[in-house]
Amino acid sequence: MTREEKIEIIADILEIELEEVTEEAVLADFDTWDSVAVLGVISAVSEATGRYLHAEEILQLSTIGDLFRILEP
Amino acid sequence: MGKNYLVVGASSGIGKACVDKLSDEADNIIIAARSKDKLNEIKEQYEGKLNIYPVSCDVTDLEHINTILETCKVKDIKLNGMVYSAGMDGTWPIKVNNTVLMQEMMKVNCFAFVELAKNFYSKRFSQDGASIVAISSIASLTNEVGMSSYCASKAALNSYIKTMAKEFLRRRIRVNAVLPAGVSTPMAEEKGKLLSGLVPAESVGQSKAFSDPQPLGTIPADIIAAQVAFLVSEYAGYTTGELLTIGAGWAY
Repeated sequence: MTREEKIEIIADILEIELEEVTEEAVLADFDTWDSVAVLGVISAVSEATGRYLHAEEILQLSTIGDLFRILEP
Repeated sequence: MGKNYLVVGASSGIGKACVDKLSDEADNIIIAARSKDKLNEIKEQYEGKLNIYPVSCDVTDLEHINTILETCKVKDIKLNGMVYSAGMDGTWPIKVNNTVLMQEMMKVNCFAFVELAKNFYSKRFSQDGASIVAISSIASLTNEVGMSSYCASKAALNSYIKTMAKEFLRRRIRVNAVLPAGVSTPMAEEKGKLLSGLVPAESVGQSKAFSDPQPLGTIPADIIAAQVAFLVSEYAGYTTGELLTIGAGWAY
């Protein structure tokens, strides 16, 4: 998956503009970082890597940079 | 002026009428349908007035249906509205129904819409406060004989509309459906030809005024388009999850 594709996925999950996707942004600062977003991450990660994460693992993530990393195969 | 729209099923009937109605206030309209020739004809018609971007596609190809929205990326536009008017008709009594037909009907009349709407919700493709309108049918409520798969697919569409309306509130994206009775379109004419001769016009000896299920007559496509334009507009800014029946006097 290209970095551009990852940016699109993250923007869609957080319902933000592509330009707002920055590594250091803190997930908890987005009011869209909620249960639906967590489901979005589970779905995106399973599609990208075949791994099925648990919600608890995702709730440990703190920044958008972490989202980039878990989308790595 | 200044609005950007997507009309799916734009090559004829209600979809084409919607393009015409929405063109008054649009800068850009993406039109999608199977027939490239028909789409190009529509594009030519609006040459010099607004940008029309034709996308030829088969909506039953659910894997690739979102290529329609890629046009937004290429042309750098975000949509104010999407009208889903792709539809498949068919009179198949249960006895002669088959699974292929059922699946096609569900794909065209329902699943393709859901898949598109899901992606429309992305900020990459739509503006906050955008509006989604699907063309359903009064038959989803009246369950006409011989049209089980059609009625079921439109009823499923209605159900998706209502849930989607709730889920899309955060971005103030409104989701509504129009449920017309008989509309004068090429699809309806085909069906009329098929049914004439099979069904007696005045079967129970009543005068036409009483026996006609649609006393106000066949609805012109541009009347439906006007209702769609209303639901797309800010005048319907507080209307979402609604199924707007246009029944021409049909009692249901």
